[in-house]
Amino acid sequence: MEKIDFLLLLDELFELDDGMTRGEDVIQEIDGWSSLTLIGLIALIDREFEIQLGPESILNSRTVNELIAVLGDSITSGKQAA
Amino acid sequence: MAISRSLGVRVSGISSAIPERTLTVADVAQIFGAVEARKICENTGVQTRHIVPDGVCTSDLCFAAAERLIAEIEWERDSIDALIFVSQTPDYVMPATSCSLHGRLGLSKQCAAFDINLGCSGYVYGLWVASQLLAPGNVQRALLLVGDTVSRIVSPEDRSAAPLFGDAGTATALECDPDAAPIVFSLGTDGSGQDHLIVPAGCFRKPHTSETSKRSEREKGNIRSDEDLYMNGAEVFMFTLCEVPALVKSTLKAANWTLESVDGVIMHQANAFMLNHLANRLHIPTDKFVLALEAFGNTSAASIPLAITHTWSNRSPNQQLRLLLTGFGVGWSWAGAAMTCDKMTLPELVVVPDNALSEEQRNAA
Repeated sequence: MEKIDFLLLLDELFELDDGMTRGEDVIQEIDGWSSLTLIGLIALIDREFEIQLGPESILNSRTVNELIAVLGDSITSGKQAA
Repeated sequence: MAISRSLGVRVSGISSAIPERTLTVADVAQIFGAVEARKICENTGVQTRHIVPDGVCTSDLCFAAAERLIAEIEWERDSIDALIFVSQTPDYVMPATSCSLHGRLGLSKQCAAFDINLGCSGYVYGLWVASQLLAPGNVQRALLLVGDTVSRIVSPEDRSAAPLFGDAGTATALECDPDAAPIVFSLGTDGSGQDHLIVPAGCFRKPHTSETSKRSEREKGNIRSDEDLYMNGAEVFMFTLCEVPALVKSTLKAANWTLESVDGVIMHQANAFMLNHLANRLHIPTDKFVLALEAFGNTSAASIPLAITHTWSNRSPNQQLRLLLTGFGVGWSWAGAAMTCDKMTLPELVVVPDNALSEEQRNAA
């Protein structure tokens, strides 16, 4: 998956307009972040990449870019990505 | 996973009982506000929960379910050789609630009775133990009473737990039948998960003090004491992602079943978001996947038999059902069963009025 598509999935998860979530955003400061969206994020990563990334690994990633780095090859930067 | 088969055992009937009193989304909104209540209830899939009045116990609900079942299947009380009570909300630290229930139900002195302390996985573990006890000429009939009243150990101001849990008690009758299809079990445990779903204080590891019972603000504004249930929802979800798909696959494989050959998949009714995610991951057809949370919430150990009652109580007892059951959660503990139900009596859901329960309690005391 390209990074831009992953960011759009995060917009949907956090109930934000398309394009609002950016790589440098601090995950736990994103509008809409809650214990429910943490579970939603675990589910999203499982659904899209079949990776079971635990809450600790997600909470240890400060920014969206750090989370993307944890997901490794599953997310490619792509030409349009910020 | 531990694989086990029970031969020559038939599940003759299952009945479920709930208290009459309900709490709804409107009650959740009163505590957490309308916006948050909507989000929580959309996620959990729970609209209504049945909650016991003060002082009413799991055993009272199980008693009502057992009385109904014994009447419907017309078992003589002295023909019951074993009584097992599975719950994490017993009447007392001691004696075992199964002994109290044995007395209330008027069973014979030749009947064995004991408790099993398990929650979300407890119904399947109870089926496993009960079905393993049965043998012709030995223990021929067992009554398995499974339930919880989690509402009594939850802080009403803890949004991670309070809006989710409801109360229920169930009764399952098992007996020797040489013609019965084998029941196949798959079971597992991971005790490293114990701290994520726990009532930390009030028993022997951390006994009750005035401090342990004091409610205070914890993470994200949730208010509870150390004697209230703590649930780390993200860790619970992660655990199910890691273990439940493997549990479903190992149970099917051990029984030599496929999803196509199953009439119903009944998972522990944890919450709708989690169950729908698991169903998608496992490609379980929606017409076979049982969701019975909306009117009851998560009823812990009772959720699987309650879902069976809710889904199939109107069917003909002669209709054969091939059911895949999976219980998973607190412990971490998990168990699956592939069970063919034939000639199984499923009485309609028993709704126990508040006043009947108090009378019941007076009689029990």
